[in-house]
Amino acid sequence: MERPRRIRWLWILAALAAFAAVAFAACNGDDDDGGDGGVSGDRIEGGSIVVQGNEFDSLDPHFSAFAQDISLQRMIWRGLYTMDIDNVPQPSMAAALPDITEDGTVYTITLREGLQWSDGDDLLAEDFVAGILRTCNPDNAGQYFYVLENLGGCFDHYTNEDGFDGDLENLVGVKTIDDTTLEITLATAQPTFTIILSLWMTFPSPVHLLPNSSDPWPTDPDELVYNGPYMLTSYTPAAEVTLAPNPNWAAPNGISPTLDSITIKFIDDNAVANNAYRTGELVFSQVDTTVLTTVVSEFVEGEEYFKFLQPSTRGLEMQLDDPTLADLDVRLALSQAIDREEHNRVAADGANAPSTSWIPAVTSGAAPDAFDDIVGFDPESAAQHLADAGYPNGEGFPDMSILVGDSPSARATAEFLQQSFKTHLNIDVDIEVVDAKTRSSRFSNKQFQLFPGGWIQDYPDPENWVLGLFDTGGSINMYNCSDPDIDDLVEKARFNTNDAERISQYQEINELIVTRVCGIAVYWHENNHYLISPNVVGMRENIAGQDAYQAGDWMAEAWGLSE
Amino acid sequence: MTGYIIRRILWMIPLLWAVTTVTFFLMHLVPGGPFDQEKQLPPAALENLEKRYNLDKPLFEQYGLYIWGVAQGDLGISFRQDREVTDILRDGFWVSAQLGLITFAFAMVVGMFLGVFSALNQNNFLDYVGVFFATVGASMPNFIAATLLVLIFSVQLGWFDVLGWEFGNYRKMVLPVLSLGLLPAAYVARITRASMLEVLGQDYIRTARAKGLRERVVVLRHAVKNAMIPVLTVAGPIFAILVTGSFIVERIFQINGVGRPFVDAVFRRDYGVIMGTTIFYATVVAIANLVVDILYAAVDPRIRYQ
Amino acid sequence: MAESGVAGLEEFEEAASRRERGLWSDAFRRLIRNRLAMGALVILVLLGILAVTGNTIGWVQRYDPAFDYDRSALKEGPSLDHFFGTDNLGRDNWSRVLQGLLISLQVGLGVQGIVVVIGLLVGGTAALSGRLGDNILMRFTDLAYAFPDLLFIILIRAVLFGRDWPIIGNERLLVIFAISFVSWTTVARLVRGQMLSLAERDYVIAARAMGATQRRIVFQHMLPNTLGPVIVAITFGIPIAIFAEAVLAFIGFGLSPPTASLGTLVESGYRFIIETEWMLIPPAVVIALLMLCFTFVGDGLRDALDPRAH
Repeated sequence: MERPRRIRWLWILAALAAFAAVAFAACNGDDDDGGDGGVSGDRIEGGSIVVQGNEFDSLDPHFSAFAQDISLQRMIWRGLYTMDIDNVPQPSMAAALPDITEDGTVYTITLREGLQWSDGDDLLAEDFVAGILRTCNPDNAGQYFYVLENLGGCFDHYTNEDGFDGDLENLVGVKTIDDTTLEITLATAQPTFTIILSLWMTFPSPVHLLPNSSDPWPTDPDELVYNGPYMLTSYTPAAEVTLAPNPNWAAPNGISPTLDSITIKFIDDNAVANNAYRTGELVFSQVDTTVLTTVVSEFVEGEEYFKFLQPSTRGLEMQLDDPTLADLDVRLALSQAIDREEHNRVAADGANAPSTSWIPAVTSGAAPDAFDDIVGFDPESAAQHLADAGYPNGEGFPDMSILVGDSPSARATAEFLQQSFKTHLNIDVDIEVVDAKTRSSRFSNKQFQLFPGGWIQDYPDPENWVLGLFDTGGSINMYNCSDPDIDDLVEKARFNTNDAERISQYQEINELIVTRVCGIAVYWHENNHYLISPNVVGMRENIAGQDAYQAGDWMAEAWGLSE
Repeated sequence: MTGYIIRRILWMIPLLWAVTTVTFFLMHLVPGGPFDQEKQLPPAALENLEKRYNLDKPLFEQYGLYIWGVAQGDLGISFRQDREVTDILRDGFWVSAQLGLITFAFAMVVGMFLGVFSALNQNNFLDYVGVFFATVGASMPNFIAATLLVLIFSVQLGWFDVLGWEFGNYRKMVLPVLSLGLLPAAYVARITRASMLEVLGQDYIRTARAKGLRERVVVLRHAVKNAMIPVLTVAGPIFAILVTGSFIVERIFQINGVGRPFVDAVFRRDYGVIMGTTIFYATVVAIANLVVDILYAAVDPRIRYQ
Repeated sequence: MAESGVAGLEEFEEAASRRERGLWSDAFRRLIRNRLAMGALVILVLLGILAVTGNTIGWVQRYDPAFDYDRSALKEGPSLDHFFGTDNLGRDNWSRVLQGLLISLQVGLGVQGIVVVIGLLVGGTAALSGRLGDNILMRFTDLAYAFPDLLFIILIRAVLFGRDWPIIGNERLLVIFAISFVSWTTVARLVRGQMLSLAERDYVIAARAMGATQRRIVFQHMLPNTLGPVIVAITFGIPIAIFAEAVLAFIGFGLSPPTASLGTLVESGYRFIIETEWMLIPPAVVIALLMLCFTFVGDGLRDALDPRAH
């Protein structure tokens, strides 16, 4: 059935006839310039762009935990290393990859020559040491300190009861050798530590402005200095930030900004942002996926509309402590009652990629359809499993509820699941809609039965999808998955130095999680959807899956305008 | 009169204290805290965060600290950016007040004009047009009105911008004012019409007409002036509501007023902002009421306050 | 002496209540003659009948609002089968609007029911309990008025939601309570003002002089005469409560799905406006209709009860 692409707005006009006159009086036939499509031309020097973003919670890289904070911070600061599009660390402020001792615990790193902050002050090794010390300082309450747990003394200082302690700080394993060399000492060898030296919590801190690690990070752009490709020129809380090129940017990858400025408007509602994109007020926007079909029919994929698979999985999480859900037959029945394809089409307007595998294929997991025979949609088998559990045709099935957040997409998913269970299993489940904070707090306190949730990858390794999540007593195992076979394999895989074997062990774990529905019936991997104006260059080439929450992750220094 | 005003102002102190207290405890009863998030924080980070924001202290101590701060003019800080709540209010109020004042003027002028116009043409076609506008305007939730306005005049016709508020730039002003002003304008029109009809039926108007005064003089000098008293009573609350910002219009047009942070803060459990905006709102409402009462006495000589 | 006094009082009261009956029947006659108000009243009654039958009688409702769905017909326009088209999950908009209508009417009436009870209690007590009581209660009313409505509704709902308490455990009642909590002040003020002015009226003073008990005066004379303005206020209050529920739904605090109120329907219609207008038009028109009709009826009632206005 052909869907109308344009709004039939005659009726709207009729309804608004009363005040149309006012609008007529107020406007003098300003012409719309319109955004015609077409292939990008050559890059021009200068120009300004306005993009959609979400407001950050903090500018302090040693404190932040949110993707929107980190995206912005990566545009104005850079660490010793930086991740390339293939997720491999490359030298950034460092001159080369670190010198690591035999036992893998001591890193010696030399900076590039002649680095400067945006105010002209020298960027020295002590600034990087100061940055790491800030993250380990308990008074700053840095939310990502645990990434540095393996750094000698960091954990001890961070967890000190009485807050900051100079003696404990001196024991943290990071120090300067000379102005351009620093040395980092780990408690145990950690091959991934170079990656961590590319992350925001190890970004430098300007010692000439903040001599002590407890000094608060300034919130006024004028009081800050920058070492990234851009610097903040203005910040209007709740509205926007403006960036201009940093004249002292070291351009380690040979790329310097060509734009005069970037304005990031904070817009949480993608529908609003899409309208602003349509009128040309924005050149980049995330897509309002509730009406994805319309957006896709409006903008050509590959020219203006872009879709990217995110390393993220969502499904129906189940509380295994619940006496009913403790029964594998019940969980299989619920999982097999969900038609993934239909769910994606109806509740998400086709935005996501249906799957039954917990670990995505890109992270050495399994193909999306690998377990469809066992947990995929099969209403007859679902009814059979429910009967085996003692509830033939849903009779006697106890009260059960689905806990969801208050977003429209979450509601649609909950309603779809509710209908599926009613239709295929003849059981009634309630839907409880709560706001995001209540939802998170109920989840952390394990006060839920059915809970649409999931995981977004922190780093590209299958262990990130398992550790703490499915091992008995794991710190974020809120659905109480407890399976001796999984525990056994986790024990083996965790410290396995044979990488191929380790990966295959995690794949086995993945299979166990999925087929035993140990806490989650997976239904899809998520896609990200973007609109990028055709006259912007250097943005779409750099779209990366990891943390592609916002355009800021995509090498902002490469963005520019074309003819 | 002066004594009355002083008493009313003094009364605001216990009033604000009570509002603050009730909101403070209610807010802490809401499940979920500011640091609950989809990906949970490690316990050590949570502990340090609570220490940093004094949330590890007993609730009554937090309350005491807060009241002490308020007494000294400190409304606390936001968990976002550690911004001073007073700064947030000052910046937001500046924008909301611009939007609110212009909308207020729009609503009063359009509403009173339509109301007088309808009343003078009672029960003929023009009256029905006026009544129709007044009722249609008042029967549409403003998020629908705002959305339709944006779709038609911004996206389809391109006359106005989708985003924002900028004083002096009509492309960014017309739609927010219309979306926000429609409902109060319709309301004012109804009140004006009813009040005008009542006044036009009074003896002194008949007398004025009988004296042979020109109709325009009768209407303008006598009828409209006296018909304004009921309008004035609703003007106060409308004014207070408009200048304290509308969450819906501010969200749809991405305007940086005080209405949006207010509701967002509840969802973020940003305690400082919730408290600050509540106190601010209660103060504005109390002052607006007082001003209305004083104006009322000034316009209607029959009313005296002791 | 005493006897004649009582007899006189009874006679007087009979005359007074005859007068009041006359007032009410006069008002009724005036209302009947108001064509706009009567037209609105007829529409309201029809909507009420539709709301009730549309949720109980199968052939009116036609589809189950939550569990009848057709996945091959998402977001379609009106047809003979689906009068108002279908929604994003393939459900019948007609049955959902009927459910929404019933629930919104319940919210509107429920809120005003509570508002009247609180308003009469607080306002009446304030008017009758002397200077101190009056002061305390009216200051309390000021306080309730000073709270930002929306914030207070959200907070109350968030605090109470999901608790296993009787009454409050019901989400619909919870929304009703939360909205009534911020809307009773107007009626309380109105009742107080009305009662205070009635206390100065000749016939009340006369009744008192003739030895009528306070109780008698209140229930015989003052309360009935207070009801007029209160009824008018309620009539205007109902659509405002329905609006408030719609705003809550827009913010994300509407009723939990699959239950539909007009507010939640309008909210989801708004989300899909660029794909289909048929999820938005029917509930929006019904809200507008309710608003208009209640306003017209309210205007009519006010004119009828307060003949001075003519």
